[in-house]
Amino acid sequence: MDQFKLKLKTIIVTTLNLEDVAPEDIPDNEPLFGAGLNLDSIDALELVLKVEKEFGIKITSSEESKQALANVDTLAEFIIHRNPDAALGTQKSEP
Amino acid sequence: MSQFHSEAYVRKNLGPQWGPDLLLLLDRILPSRVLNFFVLCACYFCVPLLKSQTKVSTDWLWRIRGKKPHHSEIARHYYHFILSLLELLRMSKNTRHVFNCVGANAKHFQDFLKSGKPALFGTFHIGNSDLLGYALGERGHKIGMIRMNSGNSAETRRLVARFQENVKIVWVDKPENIFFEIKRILQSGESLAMKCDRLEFSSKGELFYFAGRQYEFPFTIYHLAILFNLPLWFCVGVPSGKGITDVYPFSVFVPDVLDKGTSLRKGKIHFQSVLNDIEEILKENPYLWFNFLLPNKY
Repeated sequence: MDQFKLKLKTIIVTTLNLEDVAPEDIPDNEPLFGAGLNLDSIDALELVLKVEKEFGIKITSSEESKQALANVDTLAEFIIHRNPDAALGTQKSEP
Repeated sequence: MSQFHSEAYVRKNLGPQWGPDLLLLLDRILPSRVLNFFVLCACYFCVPLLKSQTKVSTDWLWRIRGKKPHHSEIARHYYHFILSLLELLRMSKNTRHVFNCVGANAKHFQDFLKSGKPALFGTFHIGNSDLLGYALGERGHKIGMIRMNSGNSAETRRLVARFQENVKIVWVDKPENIFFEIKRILQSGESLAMKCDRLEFSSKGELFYFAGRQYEFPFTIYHLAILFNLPLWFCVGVPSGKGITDVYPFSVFVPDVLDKGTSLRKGKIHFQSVLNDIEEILKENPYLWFNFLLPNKY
């Protein structure tokens, strides 16, 4: 799980071009929006699109994205719930 | 630069709720010249009453025309706003409106529209630009429009009902839902139209020069163009007579999705070019700029 969370942090940093942030420096429970990394709505959209493509899942509403993108912990839980093979590095498409 | 405002917001259009209905009634029963005369007189009396808007109008006209505007010129500024509102009201009542595509990019734009491909369409609070999204819907384009929820906007509801087959409104006063609606619209192959001259609900702003000053303009539409790999067209609608609008399309922006940084840099150059072209149009038609909010001057 720690490796998977590190992968997510790397995705966040590279997708959003966070040049001054190293993936390993992002705490698992640090808010991604409003505080902490202080990402904005376009960042959220970009991250949602990347996560959907990378893990073959769909985030279908703003409520889901708020829950999923609260921090790295919640994002990891959300992805694994939708795609249990995600943490193994195996992509499965949602039906 | 700019942060997204998360609280819900409903803005009320200026004027009483019955204002648009009264305008429509007078439009039906009075000859145009008589109605226009009464509107101009009413605008003359509004100048001292609309203090913040008059301040912005004064500042704008002074800069674009190079001299301090007279009370009557500010009234004329409001008068043209009302005339454009009247066109919107007429269109909401199923009155036919003619759109002529003009300028150097007209043919390229029209060829693109004929292709039926989706795109992002940006515009500004200028003249009859409010009509352009509905014009696209009328021509069969499936399009979402980002709009502010004005509490007394009955004409918007009528327009939405008239063009509901092809036009969907995304209300900006619920910011938490905006980007999912944008995502849904663009991922389904439809187009999206938005105004690009107010920062209130934009999450990305950049600095540009406009009419001699530096302002922060929303830059979100370029990020969307890159994210969804869509061409971006800016257009403005300039009134050309009762029921007629000249549509000025500007050069298209095509993103390079493989190089986001370069795309964003090219986007900034592109938007500055669009603003320069708009400034030229407004120097010829200075009363058509309707961004009456206090300027987001940097």
